[in-house]
Amino acid sequence: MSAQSGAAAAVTVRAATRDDMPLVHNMIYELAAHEGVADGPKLSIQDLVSDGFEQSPAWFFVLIAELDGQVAGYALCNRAYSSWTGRAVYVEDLWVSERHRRRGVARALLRALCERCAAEQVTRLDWHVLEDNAPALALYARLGARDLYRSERRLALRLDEPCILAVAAGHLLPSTPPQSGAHIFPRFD
Amino acid sequence: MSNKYKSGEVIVRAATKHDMSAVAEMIQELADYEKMSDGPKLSIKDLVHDGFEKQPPVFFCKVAEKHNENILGYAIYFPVYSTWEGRALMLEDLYVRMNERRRGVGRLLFDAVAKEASATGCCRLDFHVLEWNPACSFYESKGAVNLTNKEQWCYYRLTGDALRDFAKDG
Repeated sequence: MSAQSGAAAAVTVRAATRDDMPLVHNMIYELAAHEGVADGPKLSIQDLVSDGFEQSPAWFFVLIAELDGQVAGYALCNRAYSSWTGRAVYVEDLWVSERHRRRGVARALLRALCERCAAEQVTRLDWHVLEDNAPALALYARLGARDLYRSERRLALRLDEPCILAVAAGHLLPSTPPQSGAHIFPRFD
Repeated sequence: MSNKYKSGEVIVRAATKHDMSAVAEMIQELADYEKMSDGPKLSIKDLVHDGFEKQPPVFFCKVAEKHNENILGYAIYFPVYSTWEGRALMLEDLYVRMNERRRGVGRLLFDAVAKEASATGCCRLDFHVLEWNPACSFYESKGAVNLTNKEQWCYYRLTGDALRDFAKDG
């Protein structure tokens, strides 16, 4: 394990409540600004509260990461379905606030998510990432995520069941430096 | 030389659990078409449980039916969420049986899902399609935007005016 493992232990991850939505709303804007589309988000705090906590079924669920007593990041997900393999999860947003970077927060969020997937027999985890997000790509490669497609500089990544279980158990593949500017995605099998 | 079905000959309706045997068959046909025959792992019982017994259902399904008997095609979809714009739908599967192609059935199914997306206030309808699938030109003709293009999977999004127009005029 890397020298960051001690810092990673200080991160806690929990399910969000409706009271977290103002902070999540802030972080949604942080993420949009980071992607260069500061006016992208159109939802209000009340929209998030309504869609996440007042509708049945809820439209999404959120995991909150806390570090040093502060909210440090979030993962907003929805339940999905594969007609081949059944229950799946799609990660719409994964974000760590700038001041909490490089403390293992993203890794802790993904691990908690994979633990939840393993417990619920979810066998596929999908998300998208911008092609130029090098730190994110480096982490995702270590999860064993499979690069499925790319357009307009976005990548769709899939974590298959063996990798979900491995990540839930706390395993990561060794870091590999990018070759010719691109990450090769290794596999656990 | 059009072999298109006349209006009313084929209807699209919500699937019931009794349709899952036909849907399971077509899921396998779709996998065979995509050259990934080993992909499907679910049984008919899994589909019945996930779509009709579990609360809330894990997916929704529409079928295209002729003469109250034959199921000609299906669509599987489920709700997703955009943190920028809110409620959305993902179209996971859209399939028409091989011997029923080019008769307008796919369009009826796609229309029905787009209409549902629009009627339920969804900001977008997302779906994936393999790059070599001739259906790409159909989706593009409806104003869908090609978001992704790698490893021969294409990610399409139908949104805003294009979605409303298609749901209205399809």
